[in-house]
Amino acid sequence: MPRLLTGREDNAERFERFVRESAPRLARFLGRLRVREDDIDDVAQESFARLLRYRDQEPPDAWTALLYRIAINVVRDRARRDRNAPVADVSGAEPEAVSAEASPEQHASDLEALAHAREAILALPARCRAVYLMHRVEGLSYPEIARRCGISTKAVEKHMSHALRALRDARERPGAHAR
Amino acid sequence: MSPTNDLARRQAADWFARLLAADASERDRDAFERWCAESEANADAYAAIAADHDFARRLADDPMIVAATQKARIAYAGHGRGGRWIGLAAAALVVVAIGAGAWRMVRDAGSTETFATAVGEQRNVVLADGTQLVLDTGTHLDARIARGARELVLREGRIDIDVARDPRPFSVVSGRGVVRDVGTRFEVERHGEDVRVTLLSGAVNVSLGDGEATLAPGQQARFGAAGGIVVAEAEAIDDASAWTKGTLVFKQRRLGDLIAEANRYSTVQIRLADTSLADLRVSGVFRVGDQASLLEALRAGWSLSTTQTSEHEIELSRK
Repeated sequence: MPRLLTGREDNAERFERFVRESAPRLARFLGRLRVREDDIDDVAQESFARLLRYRDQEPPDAWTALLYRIAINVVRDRARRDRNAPVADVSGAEPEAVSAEASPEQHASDLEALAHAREAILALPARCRAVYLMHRVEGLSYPEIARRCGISTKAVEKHMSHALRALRDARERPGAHAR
Repeated sequence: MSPTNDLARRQAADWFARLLAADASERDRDAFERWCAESEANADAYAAIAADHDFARRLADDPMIVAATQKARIAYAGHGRGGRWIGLAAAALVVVAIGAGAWRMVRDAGSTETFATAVGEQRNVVLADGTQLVLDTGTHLDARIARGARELVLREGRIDIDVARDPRPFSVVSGRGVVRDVGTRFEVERHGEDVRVTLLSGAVNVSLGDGEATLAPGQQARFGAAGGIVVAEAEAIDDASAWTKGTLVFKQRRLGDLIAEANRYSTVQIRLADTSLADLRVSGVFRVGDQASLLEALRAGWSLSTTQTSEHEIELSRK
């Protein structure tokens, strides 16, 4: 499925600009999460490094939302490391990359999770499903989706929120959408 | 789930949807950051929602999702363009074999391919390790050939598997069970949670969380959503795998079973007018998907009559 992205060069430039412009905001956010002053630069750098992996996979509009998630994960990872405690699962949060050494069991559970996500999406009301798929699969912006569906961009946002919640429910309570 | 978590989840989804909008303002971000800093539960709920959205990207090449997206595209082509959806039949219409695209993140762990067949369709597939598959009608399957393992996940339908010789273990996950093989030919059939494994040659081990069975050639194991594994002798093996050659072989089997089997290959469903007909014994070799000949045989050989009751239904009754 082709995704509507600008060219690679453009995207690299755009990403650099995004990093420059987002850095102060990210620092403020990390402060609010009570990251120590001395650590903020490190955490920010690690967050941007992780975000880079998504540069060509996610449209630039999604980078801000993604950066917040990554920053939260980096903060959590560091807190765990500092406590030197065994890694606990943060409410089912996904690691940002799947280990290449995933066991067949892990992989099978991954496939099951994908099946649950698929079922959750297919079980959404028609318009909500259409909105989510246009965004997730086709990479369309809210205004474009709004135009196609003949609804407001605010309604698009509501449908997105509903779909996201359904995905979370499916992840936590698999079978809720199973036939 | 506690009400607090439920609230955090709802708010997290709202925030994530807001931040994905290109017009998310500085004020939005400020308000979001404050909400996020309020509690760990809020921040975690946000990270989880965002992770799910990320995870869902892997479905972008999934045949069912591709079909649903196409359907949405047609149904919502924009105002005033008359883009009303006029019947793409079913998601099953779309037959796609996808490459590694959806699995960039796990490339090193081997690429996963998804295969699906439409109603009435059969298809031969050769996997990267040389294993040969025949997919029956309405089948949906994921296959992964990785460095250390070969694994299939049967979601629905029926497959015939001729396993290639290879040092890597080979397994099929279906429903609650896992079938492990040591160089053989076998079949796995899944409808909903009901799974049947038929061994044609060699040996396989079928295991559930709480039990396991090793099959000898000609044996069949069944299990469902609950309970253990039931092992029985399969019908004559040649008959059991006849579908791979496009035929259904029935020897003194129930008409109800034959109709159920034949219906799997057609969008026009045959219905028995009288439930007592289901126990009628029938024998014969039928072409998969050749409904007309099947009905002709039933009319001629078993004195039944057929009535087309609707576009998608044919009723079978006694003469």
